[in-house]
Amino acid sequence: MVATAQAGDLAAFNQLVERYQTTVYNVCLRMVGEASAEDAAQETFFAAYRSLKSFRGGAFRGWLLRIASNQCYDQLRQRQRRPADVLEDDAPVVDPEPLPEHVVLSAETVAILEQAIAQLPPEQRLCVLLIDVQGLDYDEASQAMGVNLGTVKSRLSRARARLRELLGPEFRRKEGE
Amino acid sequence: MLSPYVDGQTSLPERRAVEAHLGECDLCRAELADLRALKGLLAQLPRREPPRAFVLGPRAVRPAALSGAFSGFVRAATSIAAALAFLAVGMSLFLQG
Repeated sequence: MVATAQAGDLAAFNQLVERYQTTVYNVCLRMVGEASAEDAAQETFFAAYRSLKSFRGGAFRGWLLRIASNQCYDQLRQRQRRPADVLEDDAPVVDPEPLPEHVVLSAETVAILEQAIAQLPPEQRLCVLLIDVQGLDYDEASQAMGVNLGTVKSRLSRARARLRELLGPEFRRKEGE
Repeated sequence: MLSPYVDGQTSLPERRAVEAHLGECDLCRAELADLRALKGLLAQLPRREPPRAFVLGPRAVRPAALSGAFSGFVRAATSIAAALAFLAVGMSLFLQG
């Protein structure tokens, strides 16, 4: 499908869009906040279409998320704000709809986790979103982040330590449940 | 080392070293439990549905729409080229006369 898309088949490309748009949107959402996530995601797919020929194989998702990451970093740089403002100024990420039944976390826990993630420096935030939230392995995360494996490991380690600090007593309470 | 260990991203010697240490260190065992719990929580964050589809329409991928600046350049270059062609024709007619 990627090869067909690279040959110029828009329908094939759009099948790829449909396969990955939820993942891309969710990464953008927690990187730049709800108000800007839609733009960031759409720009990601425009940019991906324009640069399809540069995809040389490997995980397409990793390649696509590299583009998404760059879009998110660009947006954040343009704002020149502290990472904590991501959620404060944008509409809250937690939507008011009740969560589907299979989700174990309460809406309150989700909000606490998302607030903590939003306070991480962008590079650490991306790392946690890709690996712990989206489930990428270190190799694919390395591709998406454009850094080597060693950097992925150390960044993730710091991000998790920071999250545990931010979550503090709340985290301990959840742990006990 | 515990963070990559939790993800199975340590080499065999590293893993053995971590496990040997865990056998004798309560603090690290507690930290390991914390890391696993954190991973578990993060993995359960809900996947939000995008507000709309992001598929590209045929109009969206026309060269003019993909890069407004580029198409402006093309328009300018085209008119310069047309002006030069006109000039060239005019010059050749002049030279022939």
